[in-house]
This record gives sequence, structure tokens and C-alpha cells, in this order.
Amino acid sequence: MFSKCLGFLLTFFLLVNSNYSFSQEQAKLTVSPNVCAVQNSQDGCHLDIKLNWQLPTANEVCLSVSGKPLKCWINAATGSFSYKAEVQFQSVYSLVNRQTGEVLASATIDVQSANIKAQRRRLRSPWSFF
Amino acid sequence: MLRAIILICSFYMCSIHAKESLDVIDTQKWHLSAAFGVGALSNPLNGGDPIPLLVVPDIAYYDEQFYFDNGQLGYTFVERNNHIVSLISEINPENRFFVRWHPATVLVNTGFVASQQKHEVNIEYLDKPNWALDAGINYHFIKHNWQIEVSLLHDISGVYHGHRGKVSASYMQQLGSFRTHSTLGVAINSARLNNYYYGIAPSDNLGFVTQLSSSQNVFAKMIFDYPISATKSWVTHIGYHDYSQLNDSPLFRSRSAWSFFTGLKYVF
Repeated sequence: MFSKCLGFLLTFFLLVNSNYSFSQEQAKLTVSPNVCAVQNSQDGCHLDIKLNWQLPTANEVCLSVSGKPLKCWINAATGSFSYKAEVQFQSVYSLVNRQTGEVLASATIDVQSANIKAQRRRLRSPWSFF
Repeated sequence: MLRAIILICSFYMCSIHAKESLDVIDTQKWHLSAAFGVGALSNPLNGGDPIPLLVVPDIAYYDEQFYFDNGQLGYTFVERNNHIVSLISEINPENRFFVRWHPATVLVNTGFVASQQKHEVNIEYLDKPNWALDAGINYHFIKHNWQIEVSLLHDISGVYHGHRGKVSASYMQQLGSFRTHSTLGVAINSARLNNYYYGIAPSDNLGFVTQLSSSQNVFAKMIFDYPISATKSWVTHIGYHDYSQLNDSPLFRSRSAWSFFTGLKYVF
């Protein structure tokens, strides 16, 4: 039974990882700056954010932050986007294929507090009991 | 069991892959939310009630090292790179199937039946087991959207005098604003735990005794979270727990338990 369970787990990993690594090798997205340094955990940063992206072949793509669209391009292999934003929490930028919805690349702005560790990994879910 | 694996695998094969860090939480702040909706956890025991899921609270507080998260008390003493090691204590969940959720069903008393295959015992005939408190060690490995969790706990309340472990892998996906969290794992129960909750002892006075061995019970869960606003989101949970290794227990009428919930989550 245990070896069967192990088999299922391995299949599960392989299925996910095969697709994951394929899409990550295709595109590049960079964000600058990529860190927001604050004194206290409640503080935020006013940043001039610059994003650059490139693809191996031209495509129809959109740039989004935490699921919110920022700008879209039609038939483009490179692009850049700048804007001002207040960052208080970790922000994840994604370059998404407009037709398939696939996330081609992503980049993160981390928030670092000087005083205490403002955030931690959450280790449990309310659904653990069920 | 196979159905659960197929469900999860087909979801992954059809889905879109994203790179985003797993859940982070602000420290030194209470996090309170509740999901209001409809759902249930099926009860695999003879005479056991399905557990209704109408309100699912979510309560957490994290300090730099201590944390309380939905019934689990923890002290993290290693948090380096992708490795997190904590000492934890939590209520053993096995007793959930013995709680009488609907008073009316207490009156239904089918007793026990000795068939040719095996005995079947209604849990109403047995003394209700006690809630147990477990403590032990918990390890998380977190990388990109993956989270591997291993835990080993022992009964510190002197209820069942055994131990249990868990090995699981979770994967989080962000599909636009839609977020999914999938978990596949194995819950390992010692023979003492299984015998306390699911065995038949001479003291039960049923004319027979059932001794169980340790078990590895596979489970799978999926959570779908669709944010509507900053404080509201729509949550759907599907869970599967396999109990086929406890088939020798006369308490089981089903080899698995399913859970389902869908509803509106509100962050206070």
C-alpha cells in the first residue's frame, strides 16, 4: 500500500513539473526595483516600477500584478512598462499569454521590514481538519 | 481512491502553470475570517452522522516564532531558506466521526450484525472515544509553488498512547485572480491509534475482539479561491480520505470519506 501511495505521489510531481519547467524556459520578465525596504511592517514604499519582458517569438501577451491587468501587447516579442505604485505587500507580476491564459514568466517585489519580520510563511489551512 | 487521483491529475494536465510564492501572513496580528456556505464531510462509520459544514472559521496568529493556526499551536525553531521546522501541538482529528451532529440520529439504533464476511458495529453501541491532544515535530520544505510537509506526533494526553504521522505535497496555482491549492498525502496511524478509535476491545462487551494494525491512509484535497473584493472571496473545497486499510474494523461501512464545501469567505 505504501509503495502504491509513493507511486501516486511521484506521478503527481512529474505531471506538474514537466509543464512547469517548459513554460518557465520560454520567457523572461524583470522588475526594478525588486525590494521595498520599510522601517515597520505597516509601512509601504512609493516606487517608480519598471518592467521589461522578452519572448523567443512574438505573441499576444498581457502584464498583470496579482491577477490585475496592467497592459497588453499584440504580436510583440519584447516590451516594457513603467508606472508609480505604493507597495505594502509582496507583489507578483506575471506575463500572461492572452489567448491561452498561460503564465509565461513572473517577477516579484519583496517587502522587507527593518524592525521585525513583518511576514511569515503560513503553515496551516482552515481545511486541515476536513 | 483512483477517482481522486484521476480528478487531481486531470486538473493539472489541463491547467495553466504560474509561478508565485505560497501564502504569507502578517506577523503580530490576529487573522479572522469565516466561510459561510453549504457542505458536508461524509461519515464512513456505521451509525455515524455526516458532519455538516455551514460555517468554517479561519483563525490564526503568527509571531516571529510562535504561532496559532486553526487549532494548531506551534513554535518554529528553524526557518532558513526553504526549510521550516516547528514543534507543534494539536487536537487529534479522528474523534470527529464519533460526534453526534444530529440529535435525531441518536435514536436510531441498529445494533451490530454478524454477517458471513465480518461484524458490523454501530458506534452508538460503543463508549464515545475521548478527544486526544498530540504533540510532535513538523517539517515544511517550500519551493516556488510547492510545499512538502512531514509531521510526526505522539499522544500527550494519555488517551490512545500511540502516534501518527503525515507526509503530504501541496501545489498552489494562481490563474489570474483565481487561486487553487491542491494537496496529496498519506496519514500514517499507529496500531494503538487505530485500535483506540476503530478497534473492538474486550471491554466493549460485544462478544468478539478486533485488533487492527497500523495504517497508511491516502488523502487528497483541493481548494478553489476566487476573490470578489478585498474582504470577500468565493471558496470551494473538495476532500477525499481513504480508509481502505481499516477495512477489518467493524465500525466502517465505507472505505472512504468525502468532504465538500462551497461558500462565501469573509475576512473580518
